[in-house]
Amino acid sequence: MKTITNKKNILYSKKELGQIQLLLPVILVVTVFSLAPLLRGIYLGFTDYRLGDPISFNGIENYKQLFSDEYFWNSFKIGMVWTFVVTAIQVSLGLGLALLLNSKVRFTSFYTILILIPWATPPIIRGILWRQMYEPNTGAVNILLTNLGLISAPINWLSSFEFVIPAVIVAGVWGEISKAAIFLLAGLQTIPNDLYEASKIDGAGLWDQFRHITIPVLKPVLAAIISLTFMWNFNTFGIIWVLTQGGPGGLTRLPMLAAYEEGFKYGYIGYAAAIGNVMVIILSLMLFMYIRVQLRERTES
Amino acid sequence: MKRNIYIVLILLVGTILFFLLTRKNNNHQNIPLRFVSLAWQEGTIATNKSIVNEWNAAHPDIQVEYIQGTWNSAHDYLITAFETGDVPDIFHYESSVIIDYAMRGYLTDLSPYISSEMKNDILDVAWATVTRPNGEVDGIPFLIESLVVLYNKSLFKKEGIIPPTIEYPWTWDDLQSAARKMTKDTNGDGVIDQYGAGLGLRNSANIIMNTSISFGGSFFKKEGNHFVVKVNDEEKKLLQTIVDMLYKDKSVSPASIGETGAGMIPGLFSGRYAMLVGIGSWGRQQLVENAPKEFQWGVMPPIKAKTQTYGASTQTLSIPKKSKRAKEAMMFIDFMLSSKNTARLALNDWMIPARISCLSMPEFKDKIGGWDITCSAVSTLSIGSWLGAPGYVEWKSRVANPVLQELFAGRMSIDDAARRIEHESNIVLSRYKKRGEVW
Repeated sequence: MKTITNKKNILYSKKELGQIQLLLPVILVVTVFSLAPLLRGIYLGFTDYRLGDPISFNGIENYKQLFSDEYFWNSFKIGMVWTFVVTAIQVSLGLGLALLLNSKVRFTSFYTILILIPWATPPIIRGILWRQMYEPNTGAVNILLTNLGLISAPINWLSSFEFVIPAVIVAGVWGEISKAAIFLLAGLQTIPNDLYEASKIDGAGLWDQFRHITIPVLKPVLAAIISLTFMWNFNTFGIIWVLTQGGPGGLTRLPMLAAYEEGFKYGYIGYAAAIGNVMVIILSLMLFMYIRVQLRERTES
Repeated sequence: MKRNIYIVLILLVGTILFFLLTRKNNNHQNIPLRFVSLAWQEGTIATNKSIVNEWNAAHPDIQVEYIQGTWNSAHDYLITAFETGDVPDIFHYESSVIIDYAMRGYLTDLSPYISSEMKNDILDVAWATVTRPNGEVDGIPFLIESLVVLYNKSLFKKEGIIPPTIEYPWTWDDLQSAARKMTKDTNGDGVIDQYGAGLGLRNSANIIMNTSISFGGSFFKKEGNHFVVKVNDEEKKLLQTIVDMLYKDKSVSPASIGETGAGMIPGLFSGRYAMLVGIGSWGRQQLVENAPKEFQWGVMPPIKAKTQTYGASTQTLSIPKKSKRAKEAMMFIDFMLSSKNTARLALNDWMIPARISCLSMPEFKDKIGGWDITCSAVSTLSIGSWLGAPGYVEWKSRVANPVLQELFAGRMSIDDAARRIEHESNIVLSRYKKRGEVW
């Protein structure tokens, strides 16, 4: 053993040692502020830690309880609907925006800045903005719809069982389209123009170009942005917390809100950590499947 | 290059050391006591601050630092403080929550520190909200949260409706028929634009629980050592009354569904509804501050169902167990909640003071601002059977509020709501039963 490690040390060149030193501060920060809390979170998921009580290890007790917890599975279902719908809209609208920005219109950089603004706004602020827009009596949405003659009485968007889900989805989509758009724009800019020109000579229309050039070349970027957006949306907390706090009647209680409530509101820290662990596993499995399918398609083509 | 890295490392370590070392200093005696207040109405914040300033001027050796908290974030802040030990020395909160904290062992038992003057002057019903069966006291109650009905005087006059008085209070039937009479389409466009009543139904568990007592209900029943939740005919009758007003009479503004009590106040003074039912007495302050000067309003005495008895909770000051200076903190509480200061706080927050000596002051018998009627309700206040039920706080936000939201949104029948409340209550309460937690 010893000889091997010694050998390895010799293998590090002076340059590599310098690089490690450069990374040290980052490693230190990541360890203290990311890795340690993460590991502790995983550990707490196997304890019965409840606020005010001492912590003791209780194995898979939390997971047994979680398995039959209708409250959590309800919020999980809501989370899945939210994640799929919001991700689909964000990526498709983002692709549309990216295509527009990539076409040769004037003032592209101006538009780019415009669409970046919502993304640069923190989710909490976005939530507050939308809460004011949805305010039943003074909110912009109701005033606009009333002036257009579309509604006769004000709608309380965020408290109505019929409208709350579309309302939060619109607010959720709005803030993050730009993220998808910027990623995809970068991808689009890597596609060489010759490809389009060559296809034009062969008589391809815009739709054919989109289907046979843009999408195939963009596929790896699309796969990446879909996976990332999916993850981010699944873990949404701030905007929904500000808009509805999970209401009305728990209709918008996403899994993260459920975990937060278990942990902070009701004090079951161990159980909340277990929910976190389960969500990480479910998310990883789904992403693993998705990326495997993507990779297989690529090797086949 | 290399030197730069070392400089960065030294700076990093230095910062961490700096924070660790400065933290230690908190234990020093000359650091002020930290007082977290949840005052939110302008006048109350000013009163709180000036009381703290008066204390600081008189006690140079024990300074108090005023820290502004908010009701929305207080719980997260406090449990983080309790768990890390970096606690405020005095904090302001509400009786039903501090009971929960006390059961988790977060609070100092204040009973040995309470002066006999204070003990005798604070109303028994207020003490009952914070005293354990074994005599431990978890906070000093100073303001009483009570529900009132506010009404638009000019509208009542216009519609020819005589408001109730302390001698001749209304029953729910009276309220219901008055609300029906005042619900109308005033400009003839076919849309009702004036409702009899408004209610803040977003998180209505508090209103429903406290009102249920007057109907002879209580939701929580003790079976042996444990609590069970039962929705019997008494509780159902209350729910039925509200559902009827919403959907049968249509005399309650539909804006009530999903709105908070505070959010309903502007509609009262703009004449969209004639009464605001089940609002905290602090709502009067919002009227004084925000309503147009010519707006005439009044307070109704408690609406009678079987009785006029309503449930009460209190606002309190408590000391965390982890505070190292409980004795000094209690000295400050004694000062802060003296009879004179309690009266100031109550007047500015438009709430009932918890001290008997305050209630006999002329300010609290004034007709203007409805003080006479608001404070006369003190004799009808009682303690809900749920007091000290382990898991009540969780039950309220996890079971009661969401189910009531669905019920009042017209998405389920009263029987279904009752069944769901009973079923889900069992799940929540069994979590606490398992731990053998008692009040």
